[in-house]
Amino acid sequence: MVWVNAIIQGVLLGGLYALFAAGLSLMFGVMRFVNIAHGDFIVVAAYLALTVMVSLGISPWVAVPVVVAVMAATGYLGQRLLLNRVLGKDILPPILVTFGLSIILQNALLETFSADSVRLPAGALETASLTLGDGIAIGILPLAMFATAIGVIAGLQLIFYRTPLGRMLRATSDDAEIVPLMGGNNAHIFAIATGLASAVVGVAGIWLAMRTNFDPAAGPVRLLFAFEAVIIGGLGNIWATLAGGIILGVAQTVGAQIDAGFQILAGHLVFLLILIVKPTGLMPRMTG
Amino acid sequence: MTPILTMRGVNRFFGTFHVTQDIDLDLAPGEALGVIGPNGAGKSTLFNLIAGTLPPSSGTVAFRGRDVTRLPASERCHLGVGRSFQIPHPFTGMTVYENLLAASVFGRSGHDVPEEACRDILEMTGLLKNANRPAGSLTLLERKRLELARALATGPQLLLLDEIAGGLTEAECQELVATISAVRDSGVSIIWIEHVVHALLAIVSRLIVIDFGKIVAQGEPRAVMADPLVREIYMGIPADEDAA
Repeated sequence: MVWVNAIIQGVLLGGLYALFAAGLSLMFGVMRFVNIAHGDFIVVAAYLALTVMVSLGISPWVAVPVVVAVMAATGYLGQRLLLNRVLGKDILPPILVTFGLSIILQNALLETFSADSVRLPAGALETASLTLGDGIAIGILPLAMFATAIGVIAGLQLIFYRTPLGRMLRATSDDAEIVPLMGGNNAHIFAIATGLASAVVGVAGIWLAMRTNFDPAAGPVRLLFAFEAVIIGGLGNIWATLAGGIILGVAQTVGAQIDAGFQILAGHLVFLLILIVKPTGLMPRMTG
Repeated sequence: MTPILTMRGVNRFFGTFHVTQDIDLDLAPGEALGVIGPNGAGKSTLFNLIAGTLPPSSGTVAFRGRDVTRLPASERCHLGVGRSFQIPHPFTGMTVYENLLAASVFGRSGHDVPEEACRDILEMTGLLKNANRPAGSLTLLERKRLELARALATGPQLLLLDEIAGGLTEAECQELVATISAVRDSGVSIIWIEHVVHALLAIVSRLIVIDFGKIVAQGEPRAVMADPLVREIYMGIPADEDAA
């Protein structure tokens, strides 16, 4: 039963990792842009949620849309004002700039919020759970987190495959050089992609804040988990990213069951194993 | 009537290489103009200057009476410049129909998606039966048709066709000519770069010849083709040795 429990917890944790990974995957998919500061963006969103809800005392029903909207707007502007300038055939400048951003953000957070680790209290929800008979209990919070991940991914899938905006993003992902000749403005489309990814980062940050303790240096590890989830699943397929997140989550919780110190390493080992066995990921790019 | 396209003293350099030299060109609304010339003469550069992919080094480009010299390609497309490419560039991950919808969303700058219009274009270009196939699975003729259909989906008033008949069999070429003829008859102005001269002659009412970046001859297509200078430049037939 302990093992069943570990697997269930791992699956639910996988939802969080899929949320981390979705924004990364989206930006890479549309722009071939690797955002090294992605984990730090998530932590920024977590601090933003903490500030809005705890320091300003705004109700979660208002605070969540505010955090998501602020992140989306910041993402859009950041892409237009900064990141678009370094996008090009050379992949190095975006990596250098986002690496720099990562350092700046970590230090700015350290300066503002100190190095103490904090957490967003979720009240009674934190301990609420469903008991499924013999020794298996599912926390309401992880369950809601998993449901959010499914909702976000289904929403992204819907946007990508069922709306004019999605067609613009997919067309740009396919061949960005042709798009301007058909009347599309790449700078705007890229910024929309980053805005959308940043909205997802906002959601991921809120869940990170409720799920674990975090501090200004928590970003890079989240980036690593996000990369692993994307690569295990296979690039360019958003449901596969969820599968990748789940595999990573299960590997970690089962690893933790074997030995508490083995948790993170188990995730990395499974990632390594998949890279060796199937370097393209489990479900590489599907076409719509 | 205001010309749909006016180019005045347009020059373009690549470094010290003078690719486009003092081009003056007017195109009347509804006119179909053919462009021929040897490889490397600057024909595609001319298209890049009209579509806005490249800014001219000097000179002006006006579209429908408005100076568009400094406008980027995306905005010229919104004004009504549509373009097909020599080498088809479909969005391979999307279906044929989605390719058109994307073009129509981009081209009309985010207005309502005219799905009806896209279906009409698919029908006109003979792609209706392939509408839901992924664009990556199309044959060459179908890809060329998709290039044309996608350019039409942006709602152009001026259509730039870059060697769209190249590489097709004779029968395929005739089908394509029939389609382009229907586009011309719907009132869209056309500039067509083509090496398949007989296809060109079936459509255009005026022909220009470009060599070393200059317009060296222009006029009624058959008269231009019969010009000894053109025969020498274009077909390598020395002017004194009429092989016809």
